[in-house]
Amino acid sequence: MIAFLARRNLVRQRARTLLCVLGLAVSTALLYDMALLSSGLKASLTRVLDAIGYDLRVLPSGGLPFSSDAVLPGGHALAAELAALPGVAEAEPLWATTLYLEPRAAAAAAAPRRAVSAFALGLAPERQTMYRIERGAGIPPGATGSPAASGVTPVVLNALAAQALGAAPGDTLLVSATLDAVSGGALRPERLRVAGIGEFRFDMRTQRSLSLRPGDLARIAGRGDDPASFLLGKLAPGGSARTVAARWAALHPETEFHEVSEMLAQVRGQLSYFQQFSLILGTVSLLVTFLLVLTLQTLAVNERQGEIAILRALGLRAPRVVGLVLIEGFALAALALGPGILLGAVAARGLDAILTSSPGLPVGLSFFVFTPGALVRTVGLVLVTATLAGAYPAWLAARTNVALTLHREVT
Amino acid sequence: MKGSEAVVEARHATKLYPMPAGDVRALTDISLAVAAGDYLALMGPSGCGKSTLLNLFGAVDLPTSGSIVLEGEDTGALGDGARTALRLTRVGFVFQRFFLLPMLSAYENVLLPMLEARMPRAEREARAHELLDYVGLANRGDHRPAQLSGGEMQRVAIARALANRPRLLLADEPTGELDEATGDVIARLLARLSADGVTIVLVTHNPALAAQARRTLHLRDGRIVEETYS
Repeated sequence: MIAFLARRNLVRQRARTLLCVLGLAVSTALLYDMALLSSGLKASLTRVLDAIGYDLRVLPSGGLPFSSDAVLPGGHALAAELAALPGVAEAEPLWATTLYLEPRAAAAAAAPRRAVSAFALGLAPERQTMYRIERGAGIPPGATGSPAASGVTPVVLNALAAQALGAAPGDTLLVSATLDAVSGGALRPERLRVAGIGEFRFDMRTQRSLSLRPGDLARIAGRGDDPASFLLGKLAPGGSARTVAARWAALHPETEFHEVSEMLAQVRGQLSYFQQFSLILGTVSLLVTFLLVLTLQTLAVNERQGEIAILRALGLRAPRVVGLVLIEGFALAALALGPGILLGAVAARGLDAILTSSPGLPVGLSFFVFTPGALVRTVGLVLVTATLAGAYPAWLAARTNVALTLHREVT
Repeated sequence: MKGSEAVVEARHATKLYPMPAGDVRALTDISLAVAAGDYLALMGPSGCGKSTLLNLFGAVDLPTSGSIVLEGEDTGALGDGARTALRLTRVGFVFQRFFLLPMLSAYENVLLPMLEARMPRAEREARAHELLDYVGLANRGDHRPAQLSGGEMQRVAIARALANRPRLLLADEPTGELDEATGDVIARLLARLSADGVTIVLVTHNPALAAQARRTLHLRDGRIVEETYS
């Protein structure tokens, strides 16, 4: 019955209920956005690292987070050594360096040549998880280190590199590790065939990237020492990263060994100011929710003292009157949840677009990421806060002096 | 009159209202029993304690000293919950200003006490229709209080007061807000209720309304100064 009365009370004061719901929707939207922000980067980073799927990382000493100058010579041999350790399922070397590319047609044209630099990753195509093909095909697996039978080496470009070169799958490019200072083109170039266009997981927004087989990249760069910028390893089921780290440190003290989860924890620590920021603004939004419901319900109870006295005189127990006021606060918040979450989602999209357009951020990262936990936290906090905000007006309603109030209502 | 026959009884009931300037004495040493089926009118000048006595009878308020025994229960010995339950099931209130809930229809206002008493749905719906028919408003059940006249609102209020078949109907100046003709309609309705066996205690300034009561008590300065029978 009290739910029925609460509904009628809210409907009776349509304009007031609507304004309160709108106010609560705005504060709910802010809270939802802060919930998305507090866990967004963490969730986004975890999602990217999970997609790559490696647990271990071995680098040259002092090479963190990444240096294309510091390399581990004999990358494949080191990776095989790492993979052979107990508790390691597999390991891969990864080398990255800068290459210069130009369209094949440009080299023959009379116009000035202008090579485009790109960040080149040497990855075994059959095991790589660093990019995802969007157009065309991936690089076929095969022997590396010498030009393919066709004499053309396959390559995968990211969209920015393809755009800068005007390249599409099937096109031929010229590539070199050295820029010709005289012509502005690639020096002693080799031919590449664009196999596909892909999305690279750790690309910066303005970064041009490409991927080749490791042997192809070493050959083009003129490196015969099989260099690796770092090794990536996967733990076997039940494998202990600590045990592997201890064994690896004994074998190769000249390297650094990192667990991806540890690195993730460090990054999370560095991002804690986002959590503090969202905690402060989230608290402010809850305070607004609390004050809105508290003010409105206190006013409503004071205005309805006579009605409350009647209900009590008719036989409504004090706890039922308390329930009536609490339900009204709860209902106001519940009504605000739908529009609030919707508004928050729209605002989060806009804010994310602004923040992720900052230079130096990997493409795959987002600041506002939906997680079921963020939604549940928002819904729970708003409902609990609004219900608690009804406690004071509910107490006022419960202590209504029935006889005195009825007397006042008459006189 | 034997105490066991009384629906409600005041035993040396005194009521003081604490005020900053000193206690205000509303009732002094009232002893009075209202038997089942009785129709009692309380009359007297404003501020003489009529409504206070009605509130004590209805367990809305408690005496400062003495006791009120309602249906065999000393209201002062009961907790708030038990007193509220007593009001819900044993007492019906009719107020001068009707006090219908404005967001509910006439039918829903009548239904309300039965909902609170958890009467089975079919029974309470039938009872609400029956009561609206009894007060002559069978065709106005869907109307909100704002769509009813003063007399119609008071008839809905009487129907509401009777919802849980109370032993005692307390009416505080039920015709005070109504014109003479409409007041007569309410007076006839109360007389009919009394004839049907409902125990009524009525506060009124209207001598014509008081005249239809079997007993009339005159109060002055919180004391019973005269008792007349008709």
